[in-house]
Amino acid sequence: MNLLAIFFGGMIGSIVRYVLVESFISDFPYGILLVNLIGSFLLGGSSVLLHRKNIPRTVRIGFTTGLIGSFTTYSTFAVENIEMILMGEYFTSFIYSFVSLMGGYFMAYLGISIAFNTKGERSV
Amino acid sequence: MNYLLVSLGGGFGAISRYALSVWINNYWNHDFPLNTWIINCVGSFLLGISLNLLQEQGMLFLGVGFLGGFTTFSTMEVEAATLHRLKKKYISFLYLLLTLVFGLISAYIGIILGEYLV
Repeated sequence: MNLLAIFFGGMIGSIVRYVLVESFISDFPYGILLVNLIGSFLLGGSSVLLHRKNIPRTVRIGFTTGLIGSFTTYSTFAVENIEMILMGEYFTSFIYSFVSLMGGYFMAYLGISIAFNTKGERSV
Repeated sequence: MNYLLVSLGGGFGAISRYALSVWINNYWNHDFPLNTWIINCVGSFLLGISLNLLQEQGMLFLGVGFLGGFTTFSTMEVEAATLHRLKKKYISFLYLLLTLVFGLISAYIGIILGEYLV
């Protein structure tokens, strides 16, 4: 049951990523950057909220591990980054890496914090 | 058809990530999230190889779908942020740095190997 939930979550997450990334036509990978930042925020928030509200594990794992896990991606980030470096665009590569990693870090932290606060107010 | 290829690939990628992640955790009990680190490095390597070997539809299924869904950015960031919240900032930043460095090296080796295999 968990595997099925992760499979369906993964299908939806990948499709949404594909559609979003395809809609950006640009030299800089804004699509992947946006997907990874939004996904980090959503995973931070949902992993706290879905954990706390006695939602079945199957639903939680399908959404977090499946949907959001597949919505965001690392492999494309790494390959695009290497392509920038191979073309001598070191500064762009540095900016892309820094904004992705530290931005995602901040977004995940923000998502977790907001979720804990929201939970506190609603837990009456 | 494109959507079907991407979504099926993504579904299998997510399941593979979950299975491998759980399996690695059977053998690893430390703070450093070795499972996600291995998954992201292996996935970057495989996408690097795929670049020169796969045609359009193969790329949609394996590259965008499977490897896109297999590797994950959000899990890495949430793991890092959680380590930070647990006052393990050193491991947290080391984790991000090692994922960046080895993920890029893996992708580079993959690209070189893919060009060699064509």
